[in-house]
Amino acid sequence: MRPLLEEGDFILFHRLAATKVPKPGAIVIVHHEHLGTIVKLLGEETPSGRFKLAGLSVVSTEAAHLGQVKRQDIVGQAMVRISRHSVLPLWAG
Amino acid sequence: MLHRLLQSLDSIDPFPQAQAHCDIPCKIYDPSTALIAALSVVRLMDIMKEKSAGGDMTSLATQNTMVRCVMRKEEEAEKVKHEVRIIWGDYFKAPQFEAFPTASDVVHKIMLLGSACKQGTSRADGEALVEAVNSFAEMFWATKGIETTKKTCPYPPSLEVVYPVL
Repeated sequence: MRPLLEEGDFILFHRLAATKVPKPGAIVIVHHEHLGTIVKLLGEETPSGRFKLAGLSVVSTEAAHLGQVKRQDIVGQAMVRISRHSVLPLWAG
Repeated sequence: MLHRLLQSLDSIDPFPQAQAHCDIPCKIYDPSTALIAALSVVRLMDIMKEKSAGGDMTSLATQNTMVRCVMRKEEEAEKVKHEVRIIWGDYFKAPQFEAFPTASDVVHKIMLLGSACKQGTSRADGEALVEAVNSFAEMFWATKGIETTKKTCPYPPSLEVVYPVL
């Protein structure tokens, strides 16, 4: 699969309120402990209250390496991708 | 249109950046590519000097060799800059910068020397580039707790190079 985002794209994102629980399938901006600020596909919430992450491209880092993140590490949900050639919604509702 | 507007704003006051796809193969960083490219820069400078000293500069064959050397020198110097930037930008994080506070200065020096080697043919610049990449390689391996040794590379330009002791 082609990467959803390309180098140099801008993302408009919605900052998530602390009480809000994002839904699996959302494209989220995460402050990752080891990888810095990253954009990933949100997976299921685990019984321990952490969230799995995944990439959308074959060149993405493996899910196992991304590990699981705490709710407070999820900064926001990506809404719109602004690339050189198009503006695309990233929010599925 | 919108992208161009955002790019202009970004150049004035940069937006925070986020990485979408981390480098793959993940965790594979090695300064040896940069070192070999830096050695190639010096080697190309030497070949150019030999050709200009001994050859007929008006002959098509010599001109062809010179143009090829200039092209390759340009590419190899750019490779040094690219490879070092990747390690500095993607691998070095807060703990590595804490352990080596001068890392960014060394990287900046490599950028300047890389450009100097593209612009000119001074061997001293080439040697300084190799030496700066050596310092960077020493730092890189030290962040991984791996010892290094400095040995003369077994091929021209026969300069001292930092190798990891594995």
